[in-house]
Amino acid sequence: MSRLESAKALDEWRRSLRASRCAGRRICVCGGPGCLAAGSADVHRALVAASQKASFAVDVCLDVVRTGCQGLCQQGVLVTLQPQGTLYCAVQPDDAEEIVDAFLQGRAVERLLYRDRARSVEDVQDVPFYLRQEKHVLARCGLIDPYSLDDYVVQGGYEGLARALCLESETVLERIVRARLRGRGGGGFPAGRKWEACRRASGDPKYVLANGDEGDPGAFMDRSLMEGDPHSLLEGMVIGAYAIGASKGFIYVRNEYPLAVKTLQRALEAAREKGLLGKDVLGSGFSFDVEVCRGGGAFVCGESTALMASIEGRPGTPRVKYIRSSERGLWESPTVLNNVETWANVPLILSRGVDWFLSLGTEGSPGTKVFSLVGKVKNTGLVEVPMGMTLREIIFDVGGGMPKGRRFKAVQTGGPSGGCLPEASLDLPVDFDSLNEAGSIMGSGGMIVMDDRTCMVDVARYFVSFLVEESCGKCTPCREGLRQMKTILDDLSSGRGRPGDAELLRSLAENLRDTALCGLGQSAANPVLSTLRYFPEEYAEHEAGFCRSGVCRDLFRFVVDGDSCRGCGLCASTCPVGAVSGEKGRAHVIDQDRCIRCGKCCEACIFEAIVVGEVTS
Amino acid sequence: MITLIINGLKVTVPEGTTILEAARRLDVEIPTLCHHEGLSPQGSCRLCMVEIEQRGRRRLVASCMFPVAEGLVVETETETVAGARRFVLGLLRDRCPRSEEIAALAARYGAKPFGRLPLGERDLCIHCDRCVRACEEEATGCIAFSFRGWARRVEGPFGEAPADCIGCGACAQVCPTGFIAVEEEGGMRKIWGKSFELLRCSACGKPFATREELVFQGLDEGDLLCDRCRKREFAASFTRGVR
Amino acid sequence: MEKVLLLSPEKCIGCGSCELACSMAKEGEFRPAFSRVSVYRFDGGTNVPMTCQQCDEAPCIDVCKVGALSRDENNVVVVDGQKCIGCRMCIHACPFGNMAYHREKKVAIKCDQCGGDPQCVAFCPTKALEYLPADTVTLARKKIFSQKFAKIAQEVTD
Repeated sequence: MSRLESAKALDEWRRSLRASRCAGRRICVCGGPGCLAAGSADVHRALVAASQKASFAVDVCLDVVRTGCQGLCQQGVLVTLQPQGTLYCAVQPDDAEEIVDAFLQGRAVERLLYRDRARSVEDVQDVPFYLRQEKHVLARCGLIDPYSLDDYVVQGGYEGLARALCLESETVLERIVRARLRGRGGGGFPAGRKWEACRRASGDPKYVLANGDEGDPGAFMDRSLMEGDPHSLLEGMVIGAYAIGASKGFIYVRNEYPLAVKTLQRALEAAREKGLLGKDVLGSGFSFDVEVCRGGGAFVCGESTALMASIEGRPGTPRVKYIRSSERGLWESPTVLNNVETWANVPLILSRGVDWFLSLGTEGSPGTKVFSLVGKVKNTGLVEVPMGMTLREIIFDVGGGMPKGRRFKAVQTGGPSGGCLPEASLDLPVDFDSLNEAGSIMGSGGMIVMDDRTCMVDVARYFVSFLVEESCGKCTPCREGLRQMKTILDDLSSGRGRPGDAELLRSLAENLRDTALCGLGQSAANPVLSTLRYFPEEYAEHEAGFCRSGVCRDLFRFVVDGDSCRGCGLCASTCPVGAVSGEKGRAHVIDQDRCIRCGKCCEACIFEAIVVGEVTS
Repeated sequence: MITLIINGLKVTVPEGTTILEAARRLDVEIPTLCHHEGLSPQGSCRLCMVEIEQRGRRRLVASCMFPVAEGLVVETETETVAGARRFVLGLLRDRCPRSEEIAALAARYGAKPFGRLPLGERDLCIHCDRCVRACEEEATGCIAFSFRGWARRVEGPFGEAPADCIGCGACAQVCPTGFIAVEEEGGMRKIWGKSFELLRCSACGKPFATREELVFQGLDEGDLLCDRCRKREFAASFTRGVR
Repeated sequence: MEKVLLLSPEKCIGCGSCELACSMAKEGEFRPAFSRVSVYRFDGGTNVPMTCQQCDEAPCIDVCKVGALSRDENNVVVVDGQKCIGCRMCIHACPFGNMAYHREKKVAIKCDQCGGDPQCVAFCPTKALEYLPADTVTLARKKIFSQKFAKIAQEVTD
């Protein structure tokens, strides 16, 4: 492997790589977090063995690669065949030989195909989950071997960098400004403006940082990118550094993402070896290097000033920030901090052009956004859609809607700093400004769908508890205020609520929002404020001692609706404590003293005859 | 120089001045807790919040850290500011019910405790960080906050008596609530679970400093005199010089 | 013109007026223990007034990292009580014992020449304490005094 001395050399290398690829036949095994947990390592091993065995018999070249997240996590382990694009779901190691044989014979294994309303779908593009998506940032994720620089380059990688280095650095900056790229980490601050300020600021050296400290419950967008397509992040950072005049970069990753750390480190080595990073990048005279910095996994370290403190080797607590990091950031030097996904957008803007980028998404928020769609939705997974798609489209078209005919209640966006939006907000276009106005935030892209068996007071309690654990404790409002809010929420969900609690909660939350030191503290009130805004009736009921969703165990009881009950006995046989009794064909009864309110009977009943009722004393 | 308006009054101050400093020039009172003029600013107690108007937007900022800007309009007595003060002091009243200092401030600004904290978790520490900053900036940096959030507490490394403590007591001096206990008795100074023997002045015999303090400053050699006796000794030598 | 505070032990009668004036000016009460200037009375009738000499290279300023000690426009070393954290390092650092600790206010205290109108000088009946323009004559006198100080300091260190 020799260093690439020019953009032309990169181009030649790419062409020779493409020519040498064996007909491009590949079996891609998803190695995303969901599939790994579902046993993709074993599936991968079995497929490698099966393909080796097959290639003894027939003289064919068949690559089996472990890729990053392919998206449809719900159906893991996923296996995609290239170039056909056949998608297999829920693959087991035992399926390996059949998959390989069928592949070589040019047919599909019917039983492993995705099933949509009893119809099996062969082409991955036709699977409804993928149909409405527009994968650009995630285009290579799930397609390439994350450890292979060759793979990245074959797919057009580092083309953006090569183009950027042929331009004046001002021109590169100007393109990012014109593309109106906004920070994907949550705030939506225009990246170009940040870069411009940093470029103008005096001070040397300048730094570029990537925030990979994704810590929101239910979010795995940045993780998937780092694990599945690490070079896209690197490429974006090199371009950014060139535009700003930075010589050093850091990628801050939580150590709970060991695979991301390993993948990034390998990518750094490969890029350095090829002269895509380090001294004299692609013979341009521009030098820049990147280091991976591992964090201890504190949620607050995702906040920019805390992140910088952590890189500097100090405790990760935020600083009061009345001077922007682009002027005084890491080690008091001008610094640009962008989130992983933001960086990964940069090469695309350079290689495909500003106008192409502006054609995606909305006027105010161009481009696409990656979401991790989780919760009570049929297709959970990693999705990328153009900005401006409505929540309804994302949840019902891409996500396939509620499972088993449950009713939609709310969607939580933006993690603990975000808010819960009700059904009435479903037609909101998802972009930075609309979500802000509705009282939530885009956040980094976590999207948790909740159904009618979700208690909104309990949801607020969950997020506030998370934040109490994760608050750094530096400022009074966040440290003390959240703690009091948690007590009130604990009280409300355990029957100790008092009249006026909701109002007290609101006042604490509003004050927290206005007085906390850092962005995380200020937004920590959002889960409470948004649920208070959209679900005030649930708070009122909790004050009075009732939980309509059947979640807060002390605030409801399960009762049998005598009119609906057919007396099938399914509930009685499911009840783990024998609290349900009744004659066959007659309405059953629940013994409230024995009932532990686990909800098994309610789930089991096919006539919806077991309902949530108020506690009567 | 920068001119700004605080509560309708014009004040001109050098660039880099904070709102708090500018307000104090006008004798405008802003309560503070974590602020100490000798220590680097921290902005964490959030008691000094004031309302500013910038680009048509009103918001609360920590006056102890916000740098003045030309034409900035600051209000320190609006209902929003008063509400923020009541909020912060109310929270601290719950946290430190035994602190007289907090009680006095709360009474002054009309703050009441919210009363929704679990019991058994209370002490005098308001987490202002003044002790840690004092130690770090003047002495050995031997104390810090460990843990985080509610459980955060100031202590020596691993919760033990800090090995590097020189017993200067600056941490206790700057503590606004008297949480840090320092005892001086029988020629000993006790702080942070450590006992320091106070060196006695070789002239008057009174205990005056810990050996660690003098070692830290490289002053532990020769005759060890307290400041009074040092002054006297020099006066005495001077008479010898006169003769 | 800058002014200097000159001490002339040979003129001192040990009346202690300076201590009273100083404590009155600084503490609002007659309390020689809190006076920034001290008079030492020795056998044989020698009396020596002692107060800060505003060293050119002041160890007290060097040791104070919180910036509570600085020089004012008259080149006088002053304590900013608001900035002082009471660590007492300056007190240990002063080789002449001219820095003291105020136990009640919990801050370091020292002579600040009353901002240009030293009260000790005003009340000294014999001009053992003088506040004079830093002209050549005065500076020469101060130099002689300082040299004695330096010599003594030397003897002590040896």
